[in-house]
Amino acid sequence: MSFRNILLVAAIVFSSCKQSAHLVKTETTTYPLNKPGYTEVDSSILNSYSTYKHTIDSIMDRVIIVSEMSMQKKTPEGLLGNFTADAALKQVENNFHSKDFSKIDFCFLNNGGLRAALPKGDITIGNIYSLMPFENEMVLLTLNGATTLKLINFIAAKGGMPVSGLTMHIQDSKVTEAKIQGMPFDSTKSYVVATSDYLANGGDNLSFLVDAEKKIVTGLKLRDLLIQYLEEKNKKGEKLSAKIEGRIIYDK
Amino acid sequence: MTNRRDFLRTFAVGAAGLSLTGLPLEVLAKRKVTKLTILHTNDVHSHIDPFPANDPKYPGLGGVAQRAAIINDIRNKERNVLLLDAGDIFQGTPYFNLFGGEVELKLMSQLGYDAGTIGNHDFDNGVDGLSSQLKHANFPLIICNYDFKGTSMEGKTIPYKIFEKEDVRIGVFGLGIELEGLVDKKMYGETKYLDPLEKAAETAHHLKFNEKCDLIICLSHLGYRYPNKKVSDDVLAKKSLNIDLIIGGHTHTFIDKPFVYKNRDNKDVLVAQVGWAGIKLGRIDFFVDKKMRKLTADSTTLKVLNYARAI
Repeated sequence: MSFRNILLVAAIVFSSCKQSAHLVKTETTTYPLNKPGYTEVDSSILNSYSTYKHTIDSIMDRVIIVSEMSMQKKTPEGLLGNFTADAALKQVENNFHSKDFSKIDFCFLNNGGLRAALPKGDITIGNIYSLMPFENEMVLLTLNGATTLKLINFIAAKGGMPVSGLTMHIQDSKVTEAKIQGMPFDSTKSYVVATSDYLANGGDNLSFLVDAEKKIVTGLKLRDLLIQYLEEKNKKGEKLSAKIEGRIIYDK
Repeated sequence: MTNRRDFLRTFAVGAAGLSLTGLPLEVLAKRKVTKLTILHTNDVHSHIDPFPANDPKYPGLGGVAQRAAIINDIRNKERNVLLLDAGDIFQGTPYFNLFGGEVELKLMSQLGYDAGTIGNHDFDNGVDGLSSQLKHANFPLIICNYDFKGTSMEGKTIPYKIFEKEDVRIGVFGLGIELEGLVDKKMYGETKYLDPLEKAAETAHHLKFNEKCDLIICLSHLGYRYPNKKVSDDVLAKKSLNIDLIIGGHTHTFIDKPFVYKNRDNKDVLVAQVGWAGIKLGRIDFFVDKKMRKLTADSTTLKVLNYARAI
C-alpha cells in the first residue's frame, strides 16, 4: 500500500469519527475526450444520429475556397475579425440597395459572435457554420457624432472588436485617435454603420445603439454573406487571406 | 499542494479525535461511506461530432459517442452516478441550425443525463424554439431564477430535483444568467430573470432543512468570474450557504481541478466548469457518511476534503 493510499484510508476512517463531519472526502477528475487512453467510441450513439449526420455532411462538406492561413480571433485585432468585418461590409454594399442610404462608413462585429477558428487549406460550408452559427442579419444604423463616439469608446474599452473602415489608437482603454474611411472622426457628422441585428438591438451591452437616428434592416444573414463572399472570391481564382494591418493599436 | 496541506491538517485533527473516543479502529472502519460520482458538462453547444482533425485549436477533440464511451465505463464501475449539464446545450454547429436541438436532446437522453439547466443560447430559436424541442428530452431542465409565466415554457421546468442514491439525498437546483443585454428580447420574450443570489439562498436552504438533503449541487449558467461586479459563480460561492458544489458554465472556463471556495460560514464550496464543446467531462466523487449525520442531528457542518487526482 502506497503512502498515498494509506492517507486515503486514514482520511475516511478519521473523518468519520469526527462528530460533525458527514461529507468525508471529494475526488475530482477531468476527462479530456479523445486524448490518448480515451479513444473508445459508443457505436450505438453513432448509429442513433447517423441519419442526421448524413444530411449535415452532404451540405457541409462542400469546399468553397482554399485559405492561405489559419485564422483566429484576437484583440486588439485578429485575422478572423478583419476577414469577417471586411466581407460583411463589402457584401452588404454590393447586395443591399436602398434609397435611404448612400454608403457605409464602417462595419463592426463582436468577437463573441465568431464561434470558431478557420483552418489553413480547404474551407467548407461547415467551417462557416461553425464560425457563424447564429441566424444574425446585417443592419445599417445611422449614428450621430455623439453616439458614434460612444461606440468608438466602447470598442476601445473592449480592447478592440472586429472592424472594417475604422482605425483607432487606444491608450489606457481610451481612444486617442480615430479615423473613419481614412478621415479623422468628426463629432459633428453622422455615420452609417453596418453591424449585426444582435448588436444593433443592444446585445453585448450596446444598449446606447437604440439611440440610432435611423435603422435599416437588410434581411441579409451574416453567414450567407460570408459564404457568398468566399464563393465569389474563389470563382475569381483567389484564395482567402487576411492580415493584421494596424486597424486597432494599443499605445503605451 | 494546498490540498495536500488541508488533507494533512484534517488527518491530524482526526487523529486527535480518535484518541479521545477510544473506539477501536475496526468499528469506525465499518461505518458505511457512500460514494457518489458526479459527472458534468457545460456549453456543449451542439458539438455532436468531434472537432475535425484540421481544427487549429481542438483537433479531433470532443464528440458525443466518445463521451458516451467514458460514461459507460464509469457507470460500469460506480454504483451512484449522476450526469449533469450546466446549459448552452444548443447552438454552435449545423446540427442546431438544421434540426433545432432535436439531435442534442435525443442524444443527451440516450447518454442518460439526469438533469440540465438553461443557458442563454438555449433561447437562440426563441422561447418557443426551446419549448417545442423538450419532447426530445427524457431528463428535466432545472432552473429556479427564470419565471416563464405566460410563455410556452411555463410549467416545463422545475426549480430543483432531489435524487436518492442509496441512503443519500442529493438536491440539485439551477440558475440562469441575466438575459437582458445578452439575448435579443424577441428571443426570450416574457421570461423574467430573478435575482440568482436570492433564489439560490432560498432554494439551498429549502433543500437542506426542509428536504433534508445531504449534498446540494447548483447547476449554474452565471459564468465563472468577471472583472466587474456582475454576479458569477465566484460571487455566488463566497456569498452562499448550504451549497457543496457549483457546476458552472457560460464563460467556457477550463477548470481542470475544481476551485475550493469558502462560503459565508467558512465552509467549502467546490466550483467546477469544463470549458465547452464537450472537449472534457468533469468528474467529482463525494464520499458521504450518512450514519454520522444521524448520530449528530443538530449538525450542519460539512467538511469537504478536496483530494484531487489528476488524470
